[in-house]
Amino acid sequence: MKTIHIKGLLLLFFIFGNLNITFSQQFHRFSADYTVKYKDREGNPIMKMGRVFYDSKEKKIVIKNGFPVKEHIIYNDTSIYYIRVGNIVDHVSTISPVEFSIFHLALNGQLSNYGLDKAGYTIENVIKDKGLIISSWLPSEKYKHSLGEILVSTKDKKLYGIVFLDLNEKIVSKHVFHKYVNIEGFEFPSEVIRIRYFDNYELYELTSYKKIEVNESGNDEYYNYQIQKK
Amino acid sequence: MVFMIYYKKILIVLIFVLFGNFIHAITLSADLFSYDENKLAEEFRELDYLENLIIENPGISIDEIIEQNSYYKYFLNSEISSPLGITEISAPGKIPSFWWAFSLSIVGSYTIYGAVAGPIAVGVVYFSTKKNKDETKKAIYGCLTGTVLGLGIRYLTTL
Repeated sequence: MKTIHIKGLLLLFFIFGNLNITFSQQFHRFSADYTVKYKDREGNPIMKMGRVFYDSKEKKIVIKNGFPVKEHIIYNDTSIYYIRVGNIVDHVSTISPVEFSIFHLALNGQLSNYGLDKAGYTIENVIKDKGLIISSWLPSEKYKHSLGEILVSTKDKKLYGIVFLDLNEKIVSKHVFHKYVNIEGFEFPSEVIRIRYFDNYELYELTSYKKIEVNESGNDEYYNYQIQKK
Repeated sequence: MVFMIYYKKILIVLIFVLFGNFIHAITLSADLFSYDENKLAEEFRELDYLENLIIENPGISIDEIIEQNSYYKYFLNSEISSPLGITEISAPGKIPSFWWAFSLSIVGSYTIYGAVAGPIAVGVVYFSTKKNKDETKKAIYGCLTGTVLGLGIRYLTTL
């Protein structure tokens, strides 16, 4: 009798253990062809095309730009490197945590609130309007005098939009994420619209992603790009 | 009675002063997330055409694109194509390819015996840029210009 019970438990463990493995597939690598289009303040058209690579373990966003200039741009938490024909042509120090990039958040299943909870924001209010679940987020006590409120909307449990407000609750910028694609359970917006608002004009920016791949096994030289400092 | 009216007014003011921060000034609505779709389409019409052109013709150069449509001439001089004011980085010592080949070939051709310096400079650019066609082309132009100029100076100075 005991043997039957043990066998049954082992069978159940085997079944649920496998189900768990099936449903909790981890995503750690992302790559896609990208195009970003915008106009500068003078109205000049600007377009960049290339391929972006990101490995959540390496925490480096690597952009292999193909147009208009062939160059590699590498972002880490503190720096941006511009590399052309093997030479570093510019190095900019910056604070831009890659863990709050769209790639990292999507790979870690945190895109729906843009990782605001991890960034110390707290939810203030939630409403439902025209099919969108809209929430307002307040910065932590430490930053509430320097950072404005952020509004997040989701549609079908997927991030739809983010609105950044200044301290006077005026819209500073707006991001819209749509045309989601599903690759083996990984969902990613293939189009991101960013609108920046200024006193008397607004600037539109459109980024589109194509040929999205997740958990790619090749291209290690890009996912873990080694910057050769000469 | 008068006291009661003032009391109510004072109470309302107090509520605003004490709890003003908790009253939401911006009204949450889906309209906050809307944008002008027509403006977006209009804004990037030409760039959509350019994007398709590049996808359909992989490897097309900026010069070839401008030949087809001068609207994109902006890319040649824009900060985007040269964000740091550096248009050519390739030859040893980060000397622009054109000027690297030009300098060596003008000196080489002037002295005649060093005439091979220009082609060698082109070869250096070719290999140091990992066979980059654009940079090699610039080095060839530099070499030709330098050679013509070097020979010209030599001819004039020996008259």
